[in-house]
Amino acid sequence: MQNNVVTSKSATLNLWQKIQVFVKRSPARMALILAAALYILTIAAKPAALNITAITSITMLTLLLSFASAGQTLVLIGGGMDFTVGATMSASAILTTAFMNGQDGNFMVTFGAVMLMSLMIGLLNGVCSVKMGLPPMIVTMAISNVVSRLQYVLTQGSPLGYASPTFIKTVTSKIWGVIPSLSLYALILFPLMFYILNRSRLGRQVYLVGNNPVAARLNGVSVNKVVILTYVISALFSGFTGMLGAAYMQSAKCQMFDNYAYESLIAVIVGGTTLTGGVGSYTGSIAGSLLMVVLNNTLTAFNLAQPARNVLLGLVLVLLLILYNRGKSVRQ
Amino acid sequence: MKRTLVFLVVLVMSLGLLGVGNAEAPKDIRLASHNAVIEGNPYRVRYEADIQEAAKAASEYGFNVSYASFVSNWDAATEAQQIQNSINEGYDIILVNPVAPTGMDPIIEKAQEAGILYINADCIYTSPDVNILNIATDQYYLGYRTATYAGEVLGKGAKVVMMAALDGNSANTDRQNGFQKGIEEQGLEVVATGNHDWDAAKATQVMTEILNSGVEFDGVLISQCAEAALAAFDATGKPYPKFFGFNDTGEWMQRMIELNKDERKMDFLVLSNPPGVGASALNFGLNILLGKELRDDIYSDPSIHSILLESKEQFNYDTMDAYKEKAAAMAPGDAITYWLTVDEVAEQFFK
Repeated sequence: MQNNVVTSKSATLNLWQKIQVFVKRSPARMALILAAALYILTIAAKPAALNITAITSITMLTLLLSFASAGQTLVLIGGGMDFTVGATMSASAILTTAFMNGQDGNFMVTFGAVMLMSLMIGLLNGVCSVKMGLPPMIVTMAISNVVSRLQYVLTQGSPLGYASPTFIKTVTSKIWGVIPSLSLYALILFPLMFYILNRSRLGRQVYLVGNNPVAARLNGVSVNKVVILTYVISALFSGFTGMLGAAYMQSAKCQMFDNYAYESLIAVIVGGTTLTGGVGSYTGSIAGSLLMVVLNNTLTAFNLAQPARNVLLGLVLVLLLILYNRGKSVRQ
Repeated sequence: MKRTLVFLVVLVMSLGLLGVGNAEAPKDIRLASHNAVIEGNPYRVRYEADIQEAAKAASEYGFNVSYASFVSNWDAATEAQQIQNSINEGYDIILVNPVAPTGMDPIIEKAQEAGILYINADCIYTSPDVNILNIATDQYYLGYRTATYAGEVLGKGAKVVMMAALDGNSANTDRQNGFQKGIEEQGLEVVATGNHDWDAAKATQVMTEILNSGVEFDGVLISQCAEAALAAFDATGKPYPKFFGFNDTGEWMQRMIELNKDERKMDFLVLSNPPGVGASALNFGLNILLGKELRDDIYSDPSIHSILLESKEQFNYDTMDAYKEKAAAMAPGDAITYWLTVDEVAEQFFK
């Protein structure tokens, strides 16, 4: 009887509702379809846009954004929000260029310093979000502000040094002239993230905490510990992405990657992770990253004036967010 | 003996009096520097640091300048409130790098009624209804010179990418007018445009997207952030264009000198847009406090009393050898900076 009602309701859905249902059920697939459609539109209008350079650089930018989105995905699924992604990336980039100073051989020291700093930022985010009782958005914004200001205190506004030549090559060179070497990092980071979210005990607990923290606590989950861990993992991912970003840009500037806080958040939401927690996937975030990069690419390819580009970008994002407005699967 | 003693006493007293006369106590000046933004903007960080250095150097001219900095974070209401506070506090000089080119007339009049010297620096204040000094770098020249040099290097009909800074910013507007004039005069064709908003990551991203579009071009005209835009070529593996400019950072200078050390691989242009313009503005103020009078023929726009300072340092492939040491000593993000001393300002702009 109930099935019949559902079937009859489905039959009466109009096109817009059908699209919404599809988007809600398969956000990652939808993001991939939109990205492909946008790229085809670009090529149709500007055939020169179909070239190896474009495919390679879209892949690189997507990878960079998807690495930054990894931690954000975890935090959002756990019911939080991490606005320190950009500031942590910028601070890591500054540490990277300062420690490497254009010389090979300092990778491990740099990596250690960046991870230590990221760990501290993550712990601060997590502990403050859990203990202060303030919305995570406010807490992480405030901490992001502190991290940004510290960049100026430490560098007087003028960071030193360059990423090392070998490290730059591991990020910007091309395998067989096509595949960006940055993909090699994806071979480590993607499986790691998929394992954390889909195979580990922590991943299951994160979904549970994000979906219903009270139920999670009643089931014996240490909610505070899980939330703190999501922020720590997010900061570690952000820190490492900042290192890669320094190699991509070759040098660093204060607040250089601050926009990644917003871009990663949008990519994650467009990829189907809800702001209310408990729902989402890293596959969706990768697809969302691709969509964001292709969208920007399309607007630039059409050579629109900057204000028109900004207006269109805003409109498309609003449209996407309306489409992706998803509810929780479990009643609170 | 008595005569000798009296003579010595008189001599000592006379020398003492002479000494007292020469050791005039330095004049205390309280300086309030108001800025729209500092953090997040390396140019403005250097701008404030240069003002502090110029304030210290003012001791050579008999001034003891104390410095206080106020930042409005691009909020005009906050800026007005902070300047009002500076008036109430009785500062001697109020130096403003404004949020907007208009809208501060009442507060400026209040400052002037209180006998405070109000000087606008860097971003021009365009209201003709108040009588204040506007001290800025000639931004039009930066754009015009770059486009003109690109035309000389690339030839008539060459295709260029035009990457502007931040739409709506007065310095960007002036530069773009200069770029446009140079582009027209040199017969260049703009095949792609973009804005980097003085954001290095955005400069790389937009340049990457332009390269992705497959458009062919000979040169890149860019309003600073050139090293970040060049990183897009490195990341995508695209060959460098024939010309790239302008920029003024240590990183850009170092990279261009290294790239072209053996042979001319890419023409470029370095033009200074010194953050020290605020320090120069302070030295205009100190000259006025010394009682000197400005000449009448110095204003670029007499209706707003704007004085445009020239870009003093520039180099390209042909002249880069003279800048090797200077470039090597600069931090990557540092811009070329300098300011006019009290004497230089007096010599060039005062009667």
